[in-house]
Amino acid sequence: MKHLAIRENADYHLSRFPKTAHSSADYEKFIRTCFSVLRPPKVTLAERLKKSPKIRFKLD
Amino acid sequence: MSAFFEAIHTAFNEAGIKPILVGGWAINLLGHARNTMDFDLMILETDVEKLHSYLEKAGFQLLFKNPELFAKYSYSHEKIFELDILFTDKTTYERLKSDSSEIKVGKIDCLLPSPMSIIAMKLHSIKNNFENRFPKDFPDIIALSDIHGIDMSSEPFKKHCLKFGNKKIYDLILNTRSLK
Repeated sequence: MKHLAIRENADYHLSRFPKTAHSSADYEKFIRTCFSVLRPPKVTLAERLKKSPKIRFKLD
Repeated sequence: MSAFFEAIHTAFNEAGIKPILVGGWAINLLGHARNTMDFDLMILETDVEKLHSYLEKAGFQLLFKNPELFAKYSYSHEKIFELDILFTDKTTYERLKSDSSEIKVGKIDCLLPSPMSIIAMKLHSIKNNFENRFPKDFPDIIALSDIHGIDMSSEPFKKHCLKFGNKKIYDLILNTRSLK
């Protein structure tokens, strides 16, 4: 889903900024490349669960 | 993000459950700015099944559940954040509640434990999962102690560390303090 957020940011950027400096296709390719390298590494559920509790916390 | 919190509010409000805020959000609200992608809430183990049905109704999907410890949910409309529900017994819940303050996160009514209670949880996490928890939890302990004026060289703090953590963690805390 983080990937989708980044893609949405590229779409948002492309929808707002003028395309005068480049051809439309080149501009879009450039922007999408910029956003793609910003993508965070995909963290699997198994990786995320490594940080989860192993023994229940108790106050007694 | 607001829809995520709105949905949590709806589920807890309809279930009539008041959660204890733990994890990164509790650290933030106790004064130490810290990044987190999870929203961690602790509830009574007897409320787990009831809450599950309200969370599903509000748009959450169960990603993982350890019946003894916790459940992890994603929200169907905003999957960037995850909701972690930690289970606890009545004694622990009541003791945490007794030194908590009432707060709201968005519209969610929560109990915010005292700094010493959160430090106890952090010590417990490090003790039982050193490799994965130390990098996040150790700086939290140091920061919370500094912010709240907790004397880490005091005997009560040492007892707290040895009760919920162990000597290795306590020695690391003392070593960190000696660097100051």
